[in-house]
Amino acid sequence: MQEEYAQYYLDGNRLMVLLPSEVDDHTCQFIREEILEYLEHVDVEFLVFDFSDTLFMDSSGIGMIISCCRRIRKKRGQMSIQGESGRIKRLLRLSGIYQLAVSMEGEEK
Amino acid sequence: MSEKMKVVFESNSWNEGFARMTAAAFILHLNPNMEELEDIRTAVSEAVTNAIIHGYRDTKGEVTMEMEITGSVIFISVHDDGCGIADIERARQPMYSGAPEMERSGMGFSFMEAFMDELVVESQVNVGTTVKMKKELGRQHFE
Repeated sequence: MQEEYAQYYLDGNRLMVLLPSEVDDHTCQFIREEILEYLEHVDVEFLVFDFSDTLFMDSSGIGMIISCCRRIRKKRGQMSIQGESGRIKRLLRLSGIYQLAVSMEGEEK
Repeated sequence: MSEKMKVVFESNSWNEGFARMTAAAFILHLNPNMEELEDIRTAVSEAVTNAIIHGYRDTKGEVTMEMEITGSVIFISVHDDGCGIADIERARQPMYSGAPEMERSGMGFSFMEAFMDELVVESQVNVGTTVKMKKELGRQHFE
């Protein structure tokens, strides 16, 4: 039984990761591995985390984003975040993630 | 008048979701607002994740979650019989991770502190760890 934890959309050098409804330690173990797999085999320059479907996230999600961001930056790439709700926004702000991300819409966060 | 509950489950990562759901279901009749409910779910998730990945690491064991409601105050304790924390003060520092090789955020205790009114960590090396948290519903929180 292979459960799908996130959906991946690769468009040229842009990898968009549509995160699941619950972004926790359990789901992040798999998502991190899958993203690193992409980064290893594809020349990704833009990594986009899409939170449109996400209802819950804890610090494991923060760890996963930091970990992937570190890899993409090593390859001189960039990370951005989109579709996050107020609650997720608060967690990302609390942990300083927005300082690592480039803003696509240029909105105030 | 107070009411109590206790659940014991195995240290599998899919039980993090089970613990969050159970905690939320137990307090639902108190009519918490969305933010309070999310605060409790996040704090429980952090405590249970710590028990599973730091307490038990590569081993398996039981995690015990106990809750008590007294009026509008919620007490939660999460216990493991894992490896324990040698330096609790250091573990509670923001960005400190007991498992840096796993590339974790080190924000677990910080989130528990941010979303709950009180956090107490009791631990003994090779015996286990208990995290006790308290939150009163209906209080206004300002950042």
